[in-house]
Amino acid sequence: MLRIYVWLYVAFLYAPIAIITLFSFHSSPSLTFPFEGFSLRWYARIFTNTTFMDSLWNSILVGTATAATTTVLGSLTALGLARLKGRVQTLFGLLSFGPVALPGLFLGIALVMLFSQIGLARSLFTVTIAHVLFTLPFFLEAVRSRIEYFDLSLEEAARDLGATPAQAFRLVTLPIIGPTIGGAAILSFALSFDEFIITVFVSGNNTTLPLTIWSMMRRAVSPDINAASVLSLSLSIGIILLGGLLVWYQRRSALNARAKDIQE
Amino acid sequence: MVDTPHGRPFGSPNIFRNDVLSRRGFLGTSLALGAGATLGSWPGPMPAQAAVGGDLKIMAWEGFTLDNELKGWREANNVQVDAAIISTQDDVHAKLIGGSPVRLDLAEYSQGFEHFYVDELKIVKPLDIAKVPNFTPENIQPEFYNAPTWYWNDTHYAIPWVWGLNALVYNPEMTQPIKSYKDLLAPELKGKLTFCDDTIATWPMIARIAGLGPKFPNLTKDEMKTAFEGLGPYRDQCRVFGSSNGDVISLFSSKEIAACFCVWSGTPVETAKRGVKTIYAVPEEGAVMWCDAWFMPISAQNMDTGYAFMNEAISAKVQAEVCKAVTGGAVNKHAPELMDAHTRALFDYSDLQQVFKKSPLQGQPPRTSDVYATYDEWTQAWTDFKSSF
Amino acid sequence: MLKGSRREAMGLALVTPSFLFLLVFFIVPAALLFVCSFWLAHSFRLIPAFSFDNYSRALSASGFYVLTWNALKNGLCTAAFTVALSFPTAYFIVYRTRGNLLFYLILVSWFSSYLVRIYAWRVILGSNGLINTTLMQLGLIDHPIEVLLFSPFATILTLIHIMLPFGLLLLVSALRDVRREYIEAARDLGASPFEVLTRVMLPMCYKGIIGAFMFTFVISAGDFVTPQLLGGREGMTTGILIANQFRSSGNWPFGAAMAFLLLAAFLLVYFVFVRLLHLLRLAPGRRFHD
Repeated sequence: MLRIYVWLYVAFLYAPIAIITLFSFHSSPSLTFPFEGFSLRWYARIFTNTTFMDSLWNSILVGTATAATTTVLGSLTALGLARLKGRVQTLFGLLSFGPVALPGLFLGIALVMLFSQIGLARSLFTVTIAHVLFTLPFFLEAVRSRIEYFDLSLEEAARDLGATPAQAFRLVTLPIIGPTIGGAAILSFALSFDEFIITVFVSGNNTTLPLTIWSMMRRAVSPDINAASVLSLSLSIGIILLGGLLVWYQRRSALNARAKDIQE
Repeated sequence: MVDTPHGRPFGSPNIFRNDVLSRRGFLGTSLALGAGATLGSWPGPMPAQAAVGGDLKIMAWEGFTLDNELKGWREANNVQVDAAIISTQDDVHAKLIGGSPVRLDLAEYSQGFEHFYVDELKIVKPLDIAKVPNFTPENIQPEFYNAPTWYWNDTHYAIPWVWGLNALVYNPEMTQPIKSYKDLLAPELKGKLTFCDDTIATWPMIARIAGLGPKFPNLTKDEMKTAFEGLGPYRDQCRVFGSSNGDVISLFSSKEIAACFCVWSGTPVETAKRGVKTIYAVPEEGAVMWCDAWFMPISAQNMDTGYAFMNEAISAKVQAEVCKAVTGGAVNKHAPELMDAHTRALFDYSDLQQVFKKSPLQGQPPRTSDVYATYDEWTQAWTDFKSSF
Repeated sequence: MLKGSRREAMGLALVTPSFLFLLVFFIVPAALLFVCSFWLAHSFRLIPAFSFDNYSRALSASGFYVLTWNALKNGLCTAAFTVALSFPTAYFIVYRTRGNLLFYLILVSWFSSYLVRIYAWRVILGSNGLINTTLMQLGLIDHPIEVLLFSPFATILTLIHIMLPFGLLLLVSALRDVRREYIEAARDLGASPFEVLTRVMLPMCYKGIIGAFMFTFVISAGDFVTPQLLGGREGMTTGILIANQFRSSGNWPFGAAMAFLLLAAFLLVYFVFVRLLHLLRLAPGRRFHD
């Protein structure tokens, strides 16, 4: 029963994506049935479109920088929150929720005001700041419950046994919270990669992929936007697979190292 | 082609020019960090005086960046064009207002934005027209040359370059031929009509339907109210608002709608590619003319290349090519000769005067006024109209 | 005790970087904007003042209420369905699968551009779309069901589609902490599956559910692109009013005031939702906290 439900759930998620993929190979510029035939022309078109390729690259840059920054800031915060109690924890929890409690464009405009006050020119750097601000609450929410129930005494036991804080973190904490953090980092990348409403305000000359897709759509909706979407989907899958491999490799070497420690 | 010396003279980057200093001064509170970042964002060597080359930062509508049309020119002059795309006109001033405008060497504005940009926001640099040798009465259609949309007080603020007409588009399979806006009220079009959410291109028509056309953009508050009330029956025919030209094209292609109130003349070309025939019609009430112009924002740095770019953009050959690509009209008199038959037939170049008479190039409502409905009030009324309060 | 204070000091040190970041890039700009909401403006020029004009102007326009209601409706329906639909899947992932393959499969679906997905739904729901064509070919209907597209239904369906993986992520993260042993213990003590759900699981992942609900709610209620492209005539939400002020009209203070009013509405929903969970006795009582 449940299994069938879950597969229906996945089917619901992937049905539109199947349509997007199908029409990205459409031989005609139409996005409606009947489907007339297959062609790679839309992929050829986006690969030769410099504006598009530049914005794709910009989005990858911003997404990676955002995910990295958010992961560092977010993990530190989550670990910190686990050590805090009572009012401080509640207050900081509320504060970190703040950036998403406000409509997205609100953040965009507030940041533009700030940037103009301090004379920071809008660029991919400011986009990254905005994206970190936007993704941090999601990151914390995604890892929070995992870390809230994390048994601090485990880490402290390691410290008592003579591990340095770094060792205690690497050998005890990371293996426990690692998968959650990995998931949350991917989430940050995805949020940044698809962010549109805030980016409109804080971007400089270099546009990101959603902005480019939006302006392509405003002139004429063609399957090139589908091709763009399929391309970014495949890229993301590639990045996730790569990340997964890295995590797997790290975990394996951590396990090996631990096994060695035990042997000694 | 204009004769320009190639290469750049040597010398230290002149970052302490007065205009830069005054802009920095304007920041006032700029922190060391912020100022550093601003400095850091400047490209290495500054483009030198009277030299074409280097990188050129422009902001233009999708399809209007001359990516293909100026390929040869870019290579010959060693210019790298870095184009940001406009989704709505608001994107342009969003980048330029505030204490730290984004560097843009060239950008576009549509008709109606001139006084707002020049006088109120003060984001436009006056042009030295001598540096755009193609911009002469001999080359440019008189209706566009020195029109008040880009020329006043003996000063040129922008160079017009592509124009077009927005009017009715309908699907002949789904409706009778439409000759007048009143035909849109036919019962068969119930739930089959759409409006394009393009304010500047729709408002003049709203005024015209109410018989207030010639007064636009200066309608009193009461007149504006009357105009929108008169639009009520049209709204009742409407199923959905198209958020852009592209959206309207997609709505036609999927046969969700049979007619659009006022939209881009290139729509039938795009729907035909998608297998749906639509007809562009200028009804008896006329059409809404638009025209895009290049201007030099206050944050422009590579000015000489900017001038050379504008000069190329209005040359007959480039005009003919870009008009084909965007289904637009040329401002250069000699461009129609170089166009294919279809592009030339889009507009009646032999009698532009008549085109202007029927579909004048109108501005936009004033930003402040005690007498007339302001831009703000129009936006408000348009929003209310869309959500039918 | 000593260990406790060492813990706290370490905790404070760890949250400091984020605190500074949020201070500079969130609190300061938000404060700037709050101050600005009492200013006056004229096409992009701000005039410092202290006036409630912006607030009273927003609150006196009937349109503001209608559009805010549209936004809240979209947000509430999307959040409720997202959480309800994702919960069984999250349960399945946490208790019935070993690897994370299914989980990642679902997350990956999120990487297709959200703007493009909106158009994909048009292809599915349109008058000549996938559903209508299929139903007509099967002879089940004579005329296309027009209400499928350009209706609140289309908006909410699409928003649910966009938010599902996200809600799932938060629920999975919350459920991972409800250990299998607790559920088994409850069963051994004779609890019915329903009781296990309402007395053990829901109270234990209460915060995760609130988190999933609120995040989904805020994003979908704040969205104005999806409703505009799919919602038809009732597709306008407050977001577009605010965006207009910031982008075309240039009345930032008025836009800021509306944004703060929308925030107030969001907070109201939050408190009502938390209260509701308490009333339904799905929230943990004191016993869990002490």
